[in-house]
Amino acid sequence: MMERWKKWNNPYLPAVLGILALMILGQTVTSGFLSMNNISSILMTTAILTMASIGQAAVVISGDSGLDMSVGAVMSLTALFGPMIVLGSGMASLFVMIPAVLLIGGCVGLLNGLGVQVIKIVPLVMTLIMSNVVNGFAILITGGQPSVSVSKELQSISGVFVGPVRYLTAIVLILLIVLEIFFLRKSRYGRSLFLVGDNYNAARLCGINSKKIVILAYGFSGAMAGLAGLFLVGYAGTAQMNMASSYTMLSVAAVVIGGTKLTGGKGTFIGGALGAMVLILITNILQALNMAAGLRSLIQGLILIGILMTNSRAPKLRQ
Amino acid sequence: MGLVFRNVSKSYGAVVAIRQADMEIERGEVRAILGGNGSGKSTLAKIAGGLIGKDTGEILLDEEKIDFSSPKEAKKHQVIMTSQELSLFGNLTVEENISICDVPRRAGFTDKKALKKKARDILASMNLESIVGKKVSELAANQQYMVELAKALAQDPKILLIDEITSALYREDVDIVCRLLADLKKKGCIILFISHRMAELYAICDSVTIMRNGETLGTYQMEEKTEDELLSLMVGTKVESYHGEGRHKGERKRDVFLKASQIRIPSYGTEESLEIGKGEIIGVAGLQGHGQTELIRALYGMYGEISLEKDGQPLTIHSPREAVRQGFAFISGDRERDGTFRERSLAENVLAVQQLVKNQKAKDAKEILDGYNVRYDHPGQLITDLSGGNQQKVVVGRWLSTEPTLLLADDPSKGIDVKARNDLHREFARLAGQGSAVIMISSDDDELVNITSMAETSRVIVLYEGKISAVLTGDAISRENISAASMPINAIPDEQEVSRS
Repeated sequence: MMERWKKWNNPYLPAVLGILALMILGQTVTSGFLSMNNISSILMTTAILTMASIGQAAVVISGDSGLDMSVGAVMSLTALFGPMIVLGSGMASLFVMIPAVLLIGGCVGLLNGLGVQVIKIVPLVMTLIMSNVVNGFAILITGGQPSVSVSKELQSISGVFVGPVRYLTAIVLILLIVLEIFFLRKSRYGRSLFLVGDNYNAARLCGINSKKIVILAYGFSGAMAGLAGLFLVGYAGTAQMNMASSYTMLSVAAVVIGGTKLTGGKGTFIGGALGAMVLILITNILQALNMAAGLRSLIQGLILIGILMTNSRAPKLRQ
Repeated sequence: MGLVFRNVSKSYGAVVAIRQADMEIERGEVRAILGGNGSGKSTLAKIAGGLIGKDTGEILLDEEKIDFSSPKEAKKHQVIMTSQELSLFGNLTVEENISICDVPRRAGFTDKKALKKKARDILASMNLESIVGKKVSELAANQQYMVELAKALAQDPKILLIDEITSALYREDVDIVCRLLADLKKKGCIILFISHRMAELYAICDSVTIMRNGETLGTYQMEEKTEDELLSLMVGTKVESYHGEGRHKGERKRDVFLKASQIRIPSYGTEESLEIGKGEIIGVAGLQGHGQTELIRALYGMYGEISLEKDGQPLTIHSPREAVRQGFAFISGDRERDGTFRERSLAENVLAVQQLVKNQKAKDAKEILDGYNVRYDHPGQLITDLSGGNQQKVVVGRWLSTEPTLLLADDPSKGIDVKARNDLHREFARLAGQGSAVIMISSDDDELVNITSMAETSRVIVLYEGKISAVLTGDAISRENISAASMPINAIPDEQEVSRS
């Protein structure tokens, strides 16, 4: 029983403690931090980052220094092109948009996966290059000045569902739990992903198609980023060039804070969601302090370094 | 007065690794520590070498208390440890690796000349001039171990701790090690020697301390005890070591199960053929790196497409995945690289093939783990919590629970104790008894002699430079014959024809 509790608790503990501490800090710094409105918007932005971090987590778990540095670019891409799909009624186009952004993101991700596994380019380099390619593509098509109108139906995802929970928050929460349990933990793919990420060679000798598993992980990451981009533009209401570029680093940080090992083979989606919440809370507190944008991102960066440092040393501290 | 351990204890959480160990070693003595997997030998050596701390007790060197907090501090006192986990840098040359702990400097820069000279002197004393200038990653496993030993010698040890360095060495290497250690002995060096190979212990050591379950049970002069007596002490019950010679069944007609007419051995560019019978155990022998590993990996589809004939039907295998689907299994002695999933639980490790590849209705993980005598707490614990031998049993359980028709084993008993090894042999023999075929490589010729005596039909094939230099059957399977066929002289064509049966 003790063992079970420990096993469950350990990877999430830092993120959960961080969330509690930040909430208390936020409330002491500015009253109204824990107001319904603010909580609602924190949950909303957390949900978008969570989507991105789910894909990132899959890639990180797939091992061999797996990282998807194209998350931000893919999100920006689908944020631009997703809303352009118009098909009869607004609702109908929304239902076409979702598979469309999944497909766009998935294709970019698969190219990443092929680059990493077939051409054998280091993941960091491959996905960074892909990020540039995707950005370039977006500029080429839009001429650098996008005119995107976001439909009412798409914007309605930020409508209130119940209490501080908006529609999107609820959708992402359900997706998160379904993906965690039925995709990552129970499905044959998810379980193979852990083994491949842990020991690529041993997994191959066991008869697991390691190559395919890793390529699909990148594809999955791309698809999730595609969806996150659509959510982002629905929430923001307008689309800009490179509007999601900061999500690349944020998704990596969220995954790490959530207890996923950067060396692969171990991790969860839920941890990534908790990590996302920590990051959003930090941003939110800094904004509440009316800090200048430059200083804000400087401090944000320093905090990130601090978190990652303690996290990479955590196993040693625990011993 | 030498080195004295008094009441040394060490536990990891609830698991006691060492329980009040006592041991005294004189200067100029070579002491063996013999014990099963998880009996605490390595832990004891690591404590002496400063890699891990002890909980209680004291260690005295020449009546002075020593308590190293790090390997660096131990090195200052010239206590050097060579471990079964190699501490070499694959991207550096042999010379650089040997001098890495004490790089000669001149004006703040590495003095390359002095570095090379020092390393070459040591290599020359080990008859290893041939590997000078090579990168460590280019060397065969046994040569890497020799570099590891050379590195220890370069540090001029007063106490040398050797943790299973010989588990991948061949006979000619062992002779060199014997000679080097004899030199060190003369200088008054204390040597702690951990190994599972009885022949080496008798050749190298003066005395032996037996450990079981973390306790030191007693110390004996090597000549006082026979091999079987030592093993019985170590295991706690009476056991017999390998006595396979002369017990082999003669050659008999066998049903051919698998025919491989073209097995490519990439590093020599050669091709070999093999017919594998039902219920047959084929032992694969030879000096390290003469194509044994490649032979069975090729059969497993790891080097791309291979054409086989199974039960008379043609069959092409492109990948390990297809090999597994055909009922092949592959067990490697290199657990860390080819076997275990270190971040995952026992259950996931043991069910990997069955559930994820074969789509079989999985047996309970517990049932398999118990069936293969794995010592564990619960199936959810990490595989790294177990000792090496137990980890290997998990890997064996993973594969044998799928009831393979062909088992390919690449030195599967590397670094595991005699009892675990005997268990492994019994499982392999049982599998062969059910009509499956087993092809097993071993760097230990005795082991091959033993396991091939356990099956109805068996052969030992010996490889030399990517070619089968001899096929031994029946009474011809003996250590002498294997050893003779492994050596270059027997690869001369005429000789080869004679030894081929």
